[in-house]
Amino acid sequence: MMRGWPRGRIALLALVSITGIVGMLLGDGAWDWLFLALAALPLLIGGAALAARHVRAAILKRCDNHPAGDY
Amino acid sequence: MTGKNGKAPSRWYRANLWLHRWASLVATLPFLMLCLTGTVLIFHEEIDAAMGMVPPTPGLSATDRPLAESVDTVLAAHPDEKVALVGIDTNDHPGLLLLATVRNGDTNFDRTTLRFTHLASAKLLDQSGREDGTLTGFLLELHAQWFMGPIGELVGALIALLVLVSLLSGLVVYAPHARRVAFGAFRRGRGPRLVQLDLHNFIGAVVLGWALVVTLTGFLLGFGTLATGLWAQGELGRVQQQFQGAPVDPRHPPVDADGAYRAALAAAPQGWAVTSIFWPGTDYSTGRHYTVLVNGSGLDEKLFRAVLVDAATGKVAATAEMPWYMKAITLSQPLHFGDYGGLPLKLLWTACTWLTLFITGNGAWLWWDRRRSRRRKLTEATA
Repeated sequence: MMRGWPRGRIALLALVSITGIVGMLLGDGAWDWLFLALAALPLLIGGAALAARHVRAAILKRCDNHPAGDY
Repeated sequence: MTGKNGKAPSRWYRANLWLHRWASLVATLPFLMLCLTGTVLIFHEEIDAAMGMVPPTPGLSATDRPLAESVDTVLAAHPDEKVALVGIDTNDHPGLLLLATVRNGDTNFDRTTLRFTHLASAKLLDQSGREDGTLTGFLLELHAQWFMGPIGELVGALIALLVLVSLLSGLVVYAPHARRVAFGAFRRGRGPRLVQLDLHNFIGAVVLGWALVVTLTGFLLGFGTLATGLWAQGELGRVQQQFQGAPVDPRHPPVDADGAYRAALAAAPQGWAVTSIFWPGTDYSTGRHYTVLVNGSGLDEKLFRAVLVDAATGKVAATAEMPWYMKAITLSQPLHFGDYGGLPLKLLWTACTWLTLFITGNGAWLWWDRRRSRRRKLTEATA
């Protein structure tokens, strides 16, 4: 079975998010978008992981239903 | 449950599982309430503006009237009151002057009424109100104090501490799950419990950073009143004692607000601005001095300094930086409510709050479901 994300990677992702949240408060306004992206990175990665799984499942389902599979 | 290589879980893991389970369960109901009220409070500025509590901002004007004219306008309209504080917020409320007034003889900031004037015309605007009389003021009192005043703030800090323990222990408990299930995968078709557990771990991993920030800052804000009292009696109290003098008339100090404004600005580093002026005779000034708060930009915007201006002579008596604990609490406020980065950050805060709300409820369900199935097995075994 595929391995999940280890604890260290989750902690690192949390640290990146914290950097974005704090950076946006303390940093220069010009960097706001970068910091916002960092703050939202865990959500983006989570969303991307979900989307990737859905696409993969859809492709596998189509392969299973392919007429060639009957032969 | 077995740990790595089929062995029984370690004592460290079991201790964290116990902490995660019970810290979360004890905090569940109050935390659900905090998430619900917090979601509304993220948009407190928009809600206050929509309900007419804050007047629309006219924008910056090149021809602002002196502050003293606004003060005189308010005092003339409310002869039984005095000004306790004047606030200038060029970022969020350009062109407006906020005046907090209190009844003559009163010094308590909890009983102030907020009034607004146009800086360009010094005219008093219709909008006025006590903060606790608004919807957001009511929700803030529930969110921050549980309607119990400063004691309620400490209760809030305790809830934040429980959530913090739950988050950190949850990270430890997450490890075996990560070895079994891929990130973002939900084990469907094997009962609702596994799907809910996978959802719990997945969402928990996604919102961990945000939740740590909001919980830690919530914990610090729980000590807000205590720290302010400590500061007022400690550093500020020492300054107040050091610069005692013949008190001035708090309704009409000899040096007006503009004099205090200019003196404080001259004592501050170049490029800094005045944000608030506490009138003589309040808890945060002396009977003779104004306390003027000044700040810069970037990090300095949040870490303001206090300038004590003699209301009789207009001279700067002292300049003081905030103590570290006040700085920590001041920085915690925007980090907790996420209201410093415009709508995109507010939407991120809302999404994270709702996701956290979901895993709080679903975590409680996981505990209840496990308990129910254990009881059922026990009944079946004894039957």
